[in-house]
Amino acid sequence: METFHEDVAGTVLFCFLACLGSLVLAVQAKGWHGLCPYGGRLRVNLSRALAAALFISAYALYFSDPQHRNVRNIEGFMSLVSLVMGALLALVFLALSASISEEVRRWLVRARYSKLSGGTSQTGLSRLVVEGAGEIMLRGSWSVDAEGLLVILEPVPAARRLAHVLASCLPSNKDLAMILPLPRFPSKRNGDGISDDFREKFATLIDAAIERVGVVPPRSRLLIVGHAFRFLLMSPDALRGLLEKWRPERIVLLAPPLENPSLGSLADSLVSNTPKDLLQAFPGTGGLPISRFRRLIRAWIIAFLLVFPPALFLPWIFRARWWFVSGPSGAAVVSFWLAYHVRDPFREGESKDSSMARTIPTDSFFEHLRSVPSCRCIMVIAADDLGGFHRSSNTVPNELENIELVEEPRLLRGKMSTWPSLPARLERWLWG
Amino acid sequence: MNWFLELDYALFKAINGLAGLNALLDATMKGLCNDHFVPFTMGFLLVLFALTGKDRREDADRIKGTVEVFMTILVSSLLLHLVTSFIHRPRPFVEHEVRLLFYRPTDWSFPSNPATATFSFYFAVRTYQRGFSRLFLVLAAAMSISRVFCGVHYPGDVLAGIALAALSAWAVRKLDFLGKPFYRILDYLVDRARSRTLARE
Repeated sequence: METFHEDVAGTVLFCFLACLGSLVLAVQAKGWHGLCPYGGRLRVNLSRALAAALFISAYALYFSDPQHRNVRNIEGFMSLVSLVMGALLALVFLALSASISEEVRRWLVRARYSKLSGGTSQTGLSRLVVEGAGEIMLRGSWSVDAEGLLVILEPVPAARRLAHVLASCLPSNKDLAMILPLPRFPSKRNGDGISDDFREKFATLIDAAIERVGVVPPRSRLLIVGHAFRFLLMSPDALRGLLEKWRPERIVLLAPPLENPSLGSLADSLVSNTPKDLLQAFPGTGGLPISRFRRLIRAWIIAFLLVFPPALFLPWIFRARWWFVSGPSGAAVVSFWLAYHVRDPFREGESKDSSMARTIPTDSFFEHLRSVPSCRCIMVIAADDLGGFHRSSNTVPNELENIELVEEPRLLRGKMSTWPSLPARLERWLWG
Repeated sequence: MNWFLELDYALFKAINGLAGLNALLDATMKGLCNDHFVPFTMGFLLVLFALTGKDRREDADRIKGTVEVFMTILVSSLLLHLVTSFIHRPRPFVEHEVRLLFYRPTDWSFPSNPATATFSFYFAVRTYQRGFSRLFLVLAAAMSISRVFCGVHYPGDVLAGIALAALSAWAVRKLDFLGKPFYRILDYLVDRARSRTLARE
């Protein structure tokens, strides 16, 4: 009888460490800052050093054991299972470490800004809730002589955090009004992913903010943060009202999305969002179209129940090693394969998304901007969109001379508040 | 048939004869011959291969290539078991005096299992990324030579393993329905999970 030295745990650990090294290299190569294991932005040398350390420790740990060198270890199937398990564990670990380290950085940033604003978390903002639409946060007297700034935040709960960071870091002698729309994505969707109801609520919120401020100072500024720009483009009434009533002297579009996120991939969103951010945003926005896979999942369960007994029995009667692992996993794979061919979820063709534009049509914004001729507009393009922006140079019409484009490769839309240069840059773009 | 076996043994003797002459070469070959060193290294490289496409199209190709690697390994393993149930060729150290640098495997020698598995990586990836596949080719060739060098396989076993891997990769590519469920779902999940998601910090 042949002697085996079966060390499944050791092999899985080996695979976990080495796969983690591979994933760190892949994350660096793809520029997925959201999966950065140490938080913040990816650093080439640090990532390479980390990956090398992981590879070296994996191989050293595994092959330093004489039982792993010249002795028969686990066989092919369990090796494959160990590799898949190691890769999955590495992925989960990377997602956790990226999320936790980013949360720690955000906590540190909040603590720093809280210290700057006198050791309390109060930022002097008064809140006004507009029922069913969102809320308005205000600071300052908003007199005719004041230098006011209106900030339109993204319609996500986490934008509140950025609002507090902005309130702490922007000069206290400037009046501040911030609009935080409610993160509502009704189930009935249009081609652009939001409903008419949302458009109306957005316009109501902007009107309420302008009404609450009262007299809009002539030297006012407007800051539109991230995806708020997209929602403004999709709500022409809100955009028209905003530009006509506010008539800002300067507009800063901070990290506006230039590519249609509805057509993007998970990889695109990992450029700056951590897995925790994505998981938090996912349920509220509908997530995956489960209905499309419902029939497939049902067929998979039935096929699994049919395939499971023989899949468990066959390896057992042939006395295969690890039959209790190979049986169920083989049954899962074979039953999925069968279920897919019975209930192909793609048979009915892809969704209508293929007819949607890949880039965001920004022309309408610049058309509306003509109604404020003296306004200077600065568009700050974040790292998330730089690749796409360079691919399509027609995003901003060339005839508008007062559009200033700033490429900011260090700015990540999902990690805005932890960017150390944010206060100084904002001050320069808004009042410089 | 005899001429093939004689030629095979002559080649085996020439390669295995180099064993024991140089300690460094022996150590290197023993490392490469290990059941896990090269196959797992190829597995880790496959993770890197799957995730480092330059654009969406290449991403989709690489996902397909990765699924094909698994399918090719599966098909080649089935073919290998089929062959070993008909052809029973003992290991070189059973019939001849060899310089054995490895443990004594008890299964049949023909065709070489490690050669089949490692060349499956090469042939499956070759269609999608020539550059990356060369890395797999070097590793697979190194392991195959080391198996002969260490005295556990004849060169003919390795050649048969390569042929099985090539045949399996070709069959998997032609029989698209074998891997389609897996790469279509994976591709969909990667490409569409973002759909409708607005995530911010």
